[in-house]
Amino acid sequence: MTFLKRRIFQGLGTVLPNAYVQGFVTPSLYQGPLKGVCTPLFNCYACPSALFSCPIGSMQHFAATGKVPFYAAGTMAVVGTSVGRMTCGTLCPFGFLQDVLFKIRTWKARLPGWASYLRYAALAVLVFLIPALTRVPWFSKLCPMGTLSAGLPWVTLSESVRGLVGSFFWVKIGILLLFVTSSVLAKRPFCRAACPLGAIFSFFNRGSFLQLAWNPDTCTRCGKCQKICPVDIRPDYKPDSAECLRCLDCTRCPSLKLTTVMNRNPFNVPGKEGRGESENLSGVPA
Amino acid sequence: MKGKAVAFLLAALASAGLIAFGLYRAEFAKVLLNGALL
Repeated sequence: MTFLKRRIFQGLGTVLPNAYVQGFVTPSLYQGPLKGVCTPLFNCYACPSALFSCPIGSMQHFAATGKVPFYAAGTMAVVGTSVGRMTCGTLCPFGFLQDVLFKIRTWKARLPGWASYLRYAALAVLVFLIPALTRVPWFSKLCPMGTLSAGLPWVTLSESVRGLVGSFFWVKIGILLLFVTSSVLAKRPFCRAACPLGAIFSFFNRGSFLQLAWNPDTCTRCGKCQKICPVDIRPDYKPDSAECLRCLDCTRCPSLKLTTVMNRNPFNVPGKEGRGESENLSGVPA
Repeated sequence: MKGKAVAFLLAALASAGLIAFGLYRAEFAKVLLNGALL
């Protein structure tokens, strides 16, 4: 996928799920049947223009009411099984914002490797455990995307909501500013260290239908794939990494390509058809 | 690759089962109400 094509997809992923423009005019929330569908994106359903529901918000609602979210979890599992984390890389509006912010020219930093474990903690603790214990959807209360696309618009549009602003609102603004400023300095800090939806999709990356294939015979290990990778990984080291967003930016290199889990010889190397796993997508360079 | 293909098929079956069971329990309506009445 070309860089421009991915930007177009990200633009569509931002605009289409937020097509209820009337919500900003009235102001009101969309209450039609589409609100029963969970989008595989990080898009707040309390945004005045949101057409769909947030899967994380829905799962928390079920956790807070002591129920298992079969439908929301099943929807995410179907998407994850099909494409892995591809929606994070190609459609997610908050990912798009972070990609754009990282383009600002300034000093850049690298996230430590252990930071990626934090998103699993966010999923377990803030989405399931604490809401189940306190009956309050704590991740949604702290979510920076919620503050950006729902909190700020509602405070701007509605006088009654403005009257409710207290000290906790400024905590939310602080969290949003933390992720906005860190996105200028590091590649996708929220996706890598805090996103519970990305954590769910990460579980499926290794066995999803769509896979990233790497050709060890043609790879020169130049490392350019890491430079253009939006999450700063080496796809040649581990093409099925849980960190990979399947944005396909790295497939500009002929040694990496998109394939399916059923394809046993993605690069059509003669003599490799039908032979062992280690001879195809080995993933670990010699 | 065989292991990955089996993992994919098992995950596909499990996820389809999850979503079907959720729909059977009318969770679509619960998600709709939660999203609409925020």
